[in-house]
Amino acid sequence: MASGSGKPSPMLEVRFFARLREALGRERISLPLEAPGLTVERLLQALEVEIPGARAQLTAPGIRLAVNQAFIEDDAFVLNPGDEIAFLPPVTGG
Amino acid sequence: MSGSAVLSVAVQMEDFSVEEALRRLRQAAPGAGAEVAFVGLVRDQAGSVASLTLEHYPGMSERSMLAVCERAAKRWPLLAVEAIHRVGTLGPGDQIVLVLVSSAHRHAAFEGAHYIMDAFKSEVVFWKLEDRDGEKVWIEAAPSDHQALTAWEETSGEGAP
Repeated sequence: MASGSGKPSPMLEVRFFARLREALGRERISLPLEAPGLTVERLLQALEVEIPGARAQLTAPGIRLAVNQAFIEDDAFVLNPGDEIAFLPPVTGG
Repeated sequence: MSGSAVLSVAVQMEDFSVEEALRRLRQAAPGAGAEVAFVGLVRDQAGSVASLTLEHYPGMSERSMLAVCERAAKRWPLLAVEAIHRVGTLGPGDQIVLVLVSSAHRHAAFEGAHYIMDAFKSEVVFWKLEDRDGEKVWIEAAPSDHQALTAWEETSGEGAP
């Protein structure tokens, strides 16, 4: 637990994979989380500010969101400090 | 959740030995009457593929493989499942994926392995980047793979998982 003064702002770790990573030119970004319970919509807005054009890439058909390594289907999902978020293009394993 | 089946999944750069994996499968759950092995290889379409690079999401890739194996073990009376998926850069003819299934009887082993591979194609978290004569192309998800998985869901008494 953090202690002392100057409370560090909680961060959200966001990761991008495969062709999204190439399209955005980076594989991860840390964003300060202004309050617990951040919505996916608010996250997309914050990402667009940091990486112009990101929103269109991240909301393209087939792109899925994972939180703490589990797929999220619900747009109403809320994010909390320490969550690991990942945007995943359609998978092509096997 | 998945009966008493012994499930093992791995993501690795190095190649795998089917024989060694079968030995592990047998040790993990002795008494099987049937074992099915599926090996997926890098295809070389018309000699144009120089290499295939597999990217993964460490942690989530393994979890996604395990989730599929658990579902198979819930649906069929499987004794053991071992699945290995390779990552990194592979060449034509290289082994990519291994699925081993054991059961008391052949039908469950065949169907379990078939289902696991169909589900792997649509659900495990990996991405393929093909090098076609120097041009790097991310492979698109094939609708036929999704249809193959949907067909299993339609035949399941429990409906879609």
